[in-house]
Amino acid sequence: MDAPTLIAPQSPIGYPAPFWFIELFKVLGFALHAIPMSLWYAGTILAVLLTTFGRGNAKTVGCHIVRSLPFAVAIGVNLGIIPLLFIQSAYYQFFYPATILMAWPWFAVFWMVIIAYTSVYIYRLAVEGRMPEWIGGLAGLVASIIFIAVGFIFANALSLMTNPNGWWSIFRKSNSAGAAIGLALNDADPTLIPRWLFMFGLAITTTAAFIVFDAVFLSGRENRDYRRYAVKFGFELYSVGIVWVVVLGSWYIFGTRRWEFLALRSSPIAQAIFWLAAMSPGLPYILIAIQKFILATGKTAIEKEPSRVFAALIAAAQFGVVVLNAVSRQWLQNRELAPYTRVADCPVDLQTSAITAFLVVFAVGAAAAVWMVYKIIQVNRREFDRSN
Amino acid sequence: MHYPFWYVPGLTSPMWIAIVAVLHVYTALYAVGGSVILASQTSLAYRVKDGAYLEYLRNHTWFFMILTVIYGSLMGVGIWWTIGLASPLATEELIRIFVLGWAMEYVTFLIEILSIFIFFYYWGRLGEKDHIIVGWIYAAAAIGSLLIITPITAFQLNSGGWMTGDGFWKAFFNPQALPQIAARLGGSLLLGALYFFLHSTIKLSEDDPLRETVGRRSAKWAMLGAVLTIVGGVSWYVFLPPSAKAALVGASTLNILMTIIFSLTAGVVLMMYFGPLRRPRWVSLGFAVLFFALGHAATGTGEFIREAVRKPYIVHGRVLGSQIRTEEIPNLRRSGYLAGGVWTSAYIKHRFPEVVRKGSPNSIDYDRIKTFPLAKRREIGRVVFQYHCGDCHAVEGYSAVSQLARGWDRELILYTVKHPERVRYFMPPWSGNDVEAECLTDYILSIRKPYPAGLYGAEKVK
Repeated sequence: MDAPTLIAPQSPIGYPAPFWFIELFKVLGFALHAIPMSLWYAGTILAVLLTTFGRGNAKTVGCHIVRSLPFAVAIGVNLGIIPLLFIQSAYYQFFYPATILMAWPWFAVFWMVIIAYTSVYIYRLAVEGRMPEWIGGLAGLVASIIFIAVGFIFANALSLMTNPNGWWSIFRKSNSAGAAIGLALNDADPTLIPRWLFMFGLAITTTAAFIVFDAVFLSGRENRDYRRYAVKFGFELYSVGIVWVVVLGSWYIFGTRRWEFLALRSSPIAQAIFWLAAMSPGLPYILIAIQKFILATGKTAIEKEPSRVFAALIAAAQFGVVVLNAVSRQWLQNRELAPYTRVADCPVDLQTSAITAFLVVFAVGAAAAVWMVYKIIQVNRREFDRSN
Repeated sequence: MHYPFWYVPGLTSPMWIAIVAVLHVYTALYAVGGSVILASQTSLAYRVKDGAYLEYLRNHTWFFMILTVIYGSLMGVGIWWTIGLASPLATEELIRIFVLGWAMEYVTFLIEILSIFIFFYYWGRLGEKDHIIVGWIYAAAAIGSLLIITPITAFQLNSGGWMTGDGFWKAFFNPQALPQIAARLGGSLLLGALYFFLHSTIKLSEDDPLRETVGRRSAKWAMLGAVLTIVGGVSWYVFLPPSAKAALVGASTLNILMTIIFSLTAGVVLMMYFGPLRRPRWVSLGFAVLFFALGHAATGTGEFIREAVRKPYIVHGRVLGSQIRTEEIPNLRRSGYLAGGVWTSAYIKHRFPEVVRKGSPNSIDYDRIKTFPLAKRREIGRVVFQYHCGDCHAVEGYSAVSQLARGWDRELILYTVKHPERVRYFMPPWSGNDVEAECLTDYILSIRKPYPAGLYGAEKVK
């Protein structure tokens, strides 16, 4: 069956906003989601290893990750709905068939996350000493396995979405009188495994950057020795992450995306974004390395303390890595779907006043968020000054 | 048919929406009502410098946060998952109209999460004034999310004649928007108070004076909630579209459910007045559990009714339960339901290549289908059943056609297939051609149960 014959007709209702607006919030939403998501994706299993086998500061790093997990999961899951919302707005013709063909695994995602999230809380209670340690470790292990499995399901859904050529063979094997049974996965797609594992590598680098940021800004109750250790550990972890990203990224791009890679040549902007995204982890890595070097060789008290400016720069640079990756993923997604439709060409029924209302709500929300974050940073600073 | 239909034997896939939505609503309403009670009571406790009350509220906030953030917010995410799988066309339609509304709602969600975490984890670490402000930010965000999402779901019940191009606000301020906001806000305060009763009876001993304080203060909010629920409920009925009003009166299941919901709500309000408000010491653990169960039964019933009276629409006036747009019916009756659907047409052409017309690969040769033997016609009828009927009917299980058509003869089934809206006005109109109607009839005839033996006239029914 030809893939184009399986694509639903266009909605008679136009886009409520210009396509660039939808694309912008889709990419921004994904980037904002990817930060906390990385922490639970790679951070949970790392925390399990550190709290189980680590000693001293290594264990404390694990405990810090665990303490941040409940918030990371809550905020990350809800931030994840934003790109999902905009995917359904512009890419519905591809998103719905892909997810329906694998309905049961997709449907299982939020139930799995509920179990993982509950486990994360149990893990945190154990780390706080309010539950036996072994129960916490077990809960952490359950959560980390679930998060990695959820990542696999996501990789399936999103790769199937951009692979309409694979729909029919899946549907043929898994239907009942023409209705999807929904037990399939996109396992015949060669991009699936490298795509899934590449995201895990990226998540390792983000977790490493978070450890440094957390040590400087959110660990007011810890001593300087811990903060110095966290920078060193962050550097080592980032090294692992960067190797992972290079290996899996090369497999993904040169091994399974050769055609798209060649197509890059026709677009200088896409080429620039691609190479920037590929090189981008270098910047936070260098910044962490410099910070580590200063701490190791510094002589004054200021030089022996991890710098807030550096930590903020590392966090900003890592956010840049995630944004550039999100932008290049978007380019790739549009490129893959180009033979079937041009999403940018759909008519627009502009909802100007609704866009204005959204921007106002967004601005008020951002102001409230900034105010609250400012207040908690103040609290942490006060506690930091008291403990030092 | 524009999208593949997700086949869930025994249950039907859209029933997952009802299940997930009801489970979500329990905690979502608590998140809104509980936030208002928490914020107001924390402000009060700080003002009167009641340390014990503050400690109780901190304790309650932990329970509140765990329940609403883990379970409530993830079940909310679950609704997204489920509607996209079980009702993709309606979701596509709603997202196109309301995506910016949902985007606003997600801003409020994010603020909710940030503020509740800070409210709890920085309790005693933030200054008094800042802590109170954070509590009220949470309450404002929670109410904001209710004010945004309710008109969107209300639109499904009464779109107010919205036409493509009418814009966001006409859809948002549909006739059901304000009534449902009032009812849900009221319901959230009521349900929020029930959680407080239950939690305080578990956490505080019988002779602890705090228990009385919590009961009485929460009951005041609950009484306000009861008034709002009644006002919202009555106006909800007034602004129902005629089809929904008729369904409420005509469908016996809905009659019973309406009686149940009115009795439960009246019972809860009366018990609230004579219990926690007048004599808070009456509230024992058993009383609180009963209260809690009744409140949840009323809420769940209300949600079920809200979903059920929408029939035959998923989105009022626009998308039918048969997963098509209303304006598609005439064309589908001409060209054929199977031929008009993306996945139905692909499946039929793959399964029965002989029906593909030479030189016209996009159409189905229905004259050829007429000549098919019975087994093949039934098979085609089953495909029609999956897509046209499968949203509301399973073969066996929920709203089972095998039972509904028990003992029916071919003539009766064929008439019902061709004129479902005349037989039951809350069923979507038939959207296929005559050949498909015959095939569907053959299929239903093959699955329908026999007429029960021993009844008068049973021997005449074959």
